[in-house]
Amino acid sequence: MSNILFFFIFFSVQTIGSAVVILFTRNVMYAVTALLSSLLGVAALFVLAGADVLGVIQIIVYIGGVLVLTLFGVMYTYQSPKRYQESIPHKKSVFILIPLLFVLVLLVQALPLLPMIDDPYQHASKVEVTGMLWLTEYLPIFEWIGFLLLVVLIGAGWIGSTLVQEDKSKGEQV
Amino acid sequence: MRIQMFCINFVRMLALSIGLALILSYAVFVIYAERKVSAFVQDRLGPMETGPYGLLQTVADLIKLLQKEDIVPYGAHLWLFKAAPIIIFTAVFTGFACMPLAPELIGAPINVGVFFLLSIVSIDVLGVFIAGWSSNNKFSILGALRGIAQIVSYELPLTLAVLSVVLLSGTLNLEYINFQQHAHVTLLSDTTYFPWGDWTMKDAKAIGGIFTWNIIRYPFLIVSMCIFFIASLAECNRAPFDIPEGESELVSGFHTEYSGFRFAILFLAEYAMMLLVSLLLVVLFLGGTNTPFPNIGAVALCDWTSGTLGHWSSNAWGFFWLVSKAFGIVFLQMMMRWTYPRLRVDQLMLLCWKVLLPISLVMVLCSAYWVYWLKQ
Repeated sequence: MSNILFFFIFFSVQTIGSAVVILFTRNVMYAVTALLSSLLGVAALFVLAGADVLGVIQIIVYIGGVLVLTLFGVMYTYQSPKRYQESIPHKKSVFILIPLLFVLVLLVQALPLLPMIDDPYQHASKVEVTGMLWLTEYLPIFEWIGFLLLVVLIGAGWIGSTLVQEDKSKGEQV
Repeated sequence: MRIQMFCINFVRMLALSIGLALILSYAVFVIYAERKVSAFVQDRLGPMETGPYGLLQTVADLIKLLQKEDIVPYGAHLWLFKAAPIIIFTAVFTGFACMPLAPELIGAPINVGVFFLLSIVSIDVLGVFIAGWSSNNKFSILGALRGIAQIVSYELPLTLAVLSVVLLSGTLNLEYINFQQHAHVTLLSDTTYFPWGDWTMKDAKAIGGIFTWNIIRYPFLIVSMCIFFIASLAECNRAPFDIPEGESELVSGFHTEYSGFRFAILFLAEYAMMLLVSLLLVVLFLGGTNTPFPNIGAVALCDWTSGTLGHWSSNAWGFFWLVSKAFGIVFLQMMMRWTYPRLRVDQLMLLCWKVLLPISLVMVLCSAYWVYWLKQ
């Protein structure tokens, strides 16, 4: 087994294993930590596939941004896992089946097809190509997404400010 | 081919072991230095009893820490509590991998080096959060809360300050950024030095020394450097931005419940982070492994203090200059800590969002115009 294949299997197991932990744990905190491990595994898989920029973006956006915000949410709403014990029939069997199916698909289909590289450092980086594409061909799409996000941001700010004002006026009435 | 691969791998492993040895020995000395600097700032003597001039004080402290009992507080989340120091130290130590320690000594010469470093800093935040949350302590959770809010906000001016350099150097690879400022590497030698006049980079590299540093070549970068320095202080949780662990309010913030070896690891990670951001500042702005002395006619100070490229002397000089400059920045960080009082939370946020962020955005625009001007 080549080194690169070993690492590929290692990070695949890490990604899928952490995802299984997220499904089964009842503690939100453990789920978030497992999500961290899963996302790191995905970033490593990107790097192994030769997409170093995408790997780093994965870390900076999903771990540095989304996951930290998720943690904030979890921290404010945390309750002991015992408080929401509930049972859904066949839950465990479904949650075992789905990851197993994923592993099966990965082993049968994706593994032989994946263009594996021998050494990530030996290949020319994709930074320049990606950068050029982003600023030429795909620029309009990114601009549109940026505009939509701006609209969402202003909307959220507006809703937030009206809620605060309502709270204030209620406080005055009392 | 095999021998070549072996050599490359050998250099990478060498960079790893030198990096680790550098961090460990640096931590011992820098903690002693911190005590002495604080003492001299406050007109005291500092540690004097253990060894000559108290030199063995840190060693004694380390032995004490390693002997202590490993305590996990009641009600703490065992696994998260134990994992947090490992996450924090691993994140900081990984950052050293893409840092050029000498012209030819680098752990991982990846093309997205700067970007990778900035992303690694964000994993460090998660460690801080997990440490604070899993301790089952009010002070810890408050410290973690403040820490995350601070680091997430200060990442923006930090990244923008780095971006202004990246725009000018046109690469994310720290090794290339270092080589661009090196007097003996012919990289960039046919580009013009300033947008005006007919001085080229080749003339500048013939003089060498401070004239090939980014901070002299692009003089407006001094503003970016100041922003980077301030934001990096906040990223390291150093005073005057040490509100996540402010002793007088929160005992010691997110690491209140840690003791013994785990506390030692957290402490080590904090000082390693200081060194990491100082090294990054030196590579981005202050010439990296390049000497500060220029050639003045027959007195070839630059050539004498740079060694021959490809020879061990060049690597030794490069390592010496890089580490000396970084230690200078670390000393500045210490002086800051013992000079300025701690900021309030609202002052901290005001400084970040209303002062540093607009200035760093303007600096990015300045860099873009400078590049446009150079290319005309």
